[in-house]
Amino acid sequence: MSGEVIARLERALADVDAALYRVAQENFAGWLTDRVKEWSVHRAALSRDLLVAELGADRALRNAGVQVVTASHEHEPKGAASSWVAEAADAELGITSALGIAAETGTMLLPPHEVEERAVSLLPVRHLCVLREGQVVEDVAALFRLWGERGPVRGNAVLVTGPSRTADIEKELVLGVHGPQAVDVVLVAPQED
Amino acid sequence: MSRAYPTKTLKRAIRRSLAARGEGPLPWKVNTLKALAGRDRHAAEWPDFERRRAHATERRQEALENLDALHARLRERWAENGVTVHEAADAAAAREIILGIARRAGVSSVVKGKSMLGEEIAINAALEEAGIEPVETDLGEYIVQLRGEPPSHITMPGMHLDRRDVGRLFADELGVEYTENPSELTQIARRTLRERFLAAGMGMVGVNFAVAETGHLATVTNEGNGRMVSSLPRVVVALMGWERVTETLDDLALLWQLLARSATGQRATVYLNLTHGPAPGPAGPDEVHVVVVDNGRRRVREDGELSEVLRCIRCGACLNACPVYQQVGGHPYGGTYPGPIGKVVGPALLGLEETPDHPFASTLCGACEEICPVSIPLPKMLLALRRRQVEGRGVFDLERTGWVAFRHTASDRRRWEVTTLLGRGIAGLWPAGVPGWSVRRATPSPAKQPFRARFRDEEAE
Amino acid sequence: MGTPPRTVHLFIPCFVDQLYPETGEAMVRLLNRAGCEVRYLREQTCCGQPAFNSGYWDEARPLAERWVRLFADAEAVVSPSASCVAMVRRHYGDLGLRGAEGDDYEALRKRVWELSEFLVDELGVTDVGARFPHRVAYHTSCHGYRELGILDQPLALLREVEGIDLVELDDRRACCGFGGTFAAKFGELSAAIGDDKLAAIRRSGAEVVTATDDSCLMHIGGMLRHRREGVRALHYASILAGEEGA
Repeated sequence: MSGEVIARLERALADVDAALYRVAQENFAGWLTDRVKEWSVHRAALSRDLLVAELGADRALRNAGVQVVTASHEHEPKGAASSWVAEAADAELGITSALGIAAETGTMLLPPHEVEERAVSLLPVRHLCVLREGQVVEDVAALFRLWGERGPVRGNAVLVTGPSRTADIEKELVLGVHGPQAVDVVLVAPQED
Repeated sequence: MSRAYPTKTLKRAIRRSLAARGEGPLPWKVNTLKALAGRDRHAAEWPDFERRRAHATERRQEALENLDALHARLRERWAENGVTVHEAADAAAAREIILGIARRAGVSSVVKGKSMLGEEIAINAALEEAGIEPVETDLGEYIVQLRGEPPSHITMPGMHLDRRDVGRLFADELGVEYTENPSELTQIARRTLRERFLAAGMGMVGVNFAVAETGHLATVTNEGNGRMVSSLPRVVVALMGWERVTETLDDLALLWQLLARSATGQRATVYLNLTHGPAPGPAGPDEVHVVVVDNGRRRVREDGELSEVLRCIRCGACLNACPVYQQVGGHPYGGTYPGPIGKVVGPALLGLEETPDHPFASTLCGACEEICPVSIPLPKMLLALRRRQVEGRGVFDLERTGWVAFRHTASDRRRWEVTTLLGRGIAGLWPAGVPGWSVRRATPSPAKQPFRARFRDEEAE
Repeated sequence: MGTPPRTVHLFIPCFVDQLYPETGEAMVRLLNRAGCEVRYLREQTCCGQPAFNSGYWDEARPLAERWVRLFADAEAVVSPSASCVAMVRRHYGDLGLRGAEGDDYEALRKRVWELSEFLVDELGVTDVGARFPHRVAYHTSCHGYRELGILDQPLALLREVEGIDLVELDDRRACCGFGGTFAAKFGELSAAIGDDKLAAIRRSGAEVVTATDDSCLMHIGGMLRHRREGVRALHYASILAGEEGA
């Protein structure tokens, strides 16, 4: 992935008050441990994305003394009353992956999950999204094409560009209205062989 | 449409707004200029902005011309996706349908994402009457709801208020300690509304676009309330204007970014929610309903002079660019849609009897058409509406008589020269000598000799 | 220059005829200087725009048809008013002219120009040998700019004026607030919009404000005079023709 594209992505994310980190796969656990200290995280919600598991987020968090909640079918009843949603709402950090991210705007496409995990990227104060470098595309149109390449385009999805914001009061910018107050994107460099 | 502020008295409302001005800067002037600066900055990032705009215009127009076919495809997708479809011919039907869904779901409150259409069909009042509490969740909408007044702008509903207004409001209505810090005020709203999100049995969102190729219902927000409202409650109702269909996700990508750049000067809104249907799993709706509302749109589509107004993507850029809106803000317009788009949509959906001043409250400067991402020719439509407005006037109407006299005078050179010589002005409708003109303006004096008398050359054969 | 002289028919709007004849005279001098033969048909009265803008299309149509009949054989029709040219080129079509005038119109509209369009685009002239050592602010009249795309032409002409300090206003080419009968029907609102235009003029430090339309200048100038601000409103033709008007 060209350095120029990643630089563009970094600028686009900075413009929407989101941060970009580039972390080698083998360093991720250590990096995450430092972050949860920095961010005072006591509870984290994890999505069931493959990459999140591959990076060993669960173990790293537990080792750092963070309580981890992961969505599963077992939480009932359904909907807002679900205890899973309540747990995610209490977490300071939510970690997901994404289908891809657009360099032009900093937009990530969070695809639908069989187990509804939208709460992970929506309710906690911080949202951390991990992606491989190869998942960076040019623009939003390219994101939709990528989705189409994976199969039939169905399910509830969301495109996210930075932290939740409003300027409804005197046009002064405030972050963290209903969604996360902070969004961080980690691009995982290919593992050294 | 919402009747909180009557539409009939636009002229009077404008005068009142001007008279009520204080000394300080006008919020609508300040905020529209900020939005315009943002729009210019981000439009400039696309060197081929005009080409993309032309493409978006074309795609919107094609969609309008193929609306029935697109709706047929949508219905197929929705059936596959498990979305329940309801057709509402008008506002009353839409309210009935939504109340029906709410009653069957047995809910006591509905959390709402921002929806102009919701305003148009006056759904909040209907819900309240039925003993169901509507809770606005967009911060600006929440604020004006607490104040009991309508929004004053399509994308910045509370832009007529300042931080002290909001601070006092929250202190009075929510019982919190007074603060005027926007960040603190936002946190108060976040806490208060999150409780409502998690407790609500039903959520209602406005649909920015329905995508025919997949059936997705796209909702756009910056705050995240759209996601909250469409993914947390058990029952979700998507409210959609009949014309808000686009064919492909590729269209959506372009329209979404044009909307963001034109409305608030962002490259993209923070959230673009794509609701597909009911979702399995612990969170996510059991039921997804879409209510497709006509309320006059089909009729507008058949109106040769006005149909292009249905291309509108509700960005509000025309409001920001309008010299009239910049002076008086949104409330004087009454109804749901203020600004230039409102001056056409109001008469189109409500009729000119309800909106007699709308077509005339414009200098026809064209700034709206210039900034519109889908190139709606609003000034041309206003001119057509003016014609329709005066068509009803009878033979004894003073204004009509004046113009008939004008035509008569201007049809003959001698009559013209005698009248202008005598009248020192034209037909009594000329600024010189008309009361409205001399508001802070010196009146021009007619020249001693008109041009025609000074210029010595050949005359017409 | 080598530009062949053309015969130009003057299209003098009704309010220029009655209130600002010096603008017409300035235009004549400029066209002569550019090597054109000038004709004035005294039969002309009004193009019908005021009636059209007020919604009285049935009253405007006969005036439009009369206008087309009058100018049908003209080689070139030039006017110092962008809004009147826009009326002819863009809105006569909306009126639906009947009969022979309808046919003549399609050909005629291609031969109707605002003065700066004619000088710059048709004759290739930008330097008219003018001198005007003042700071001049250019107001973009809406009809000319948005309906006819006129922006570069008047600026190109003004830039060549010796001694001129030409500035564009910083208000995103905002409307002045005149709007025809709007100025009377919504008088306070029209003046409020004008206030912002005056503020922009003040910010520019200009001594003179100019534009392609005397209608705008009547409104802006009227407000300036009412406030005794000392800034003059002057049609650009008068600046180019080298005579300072009222």
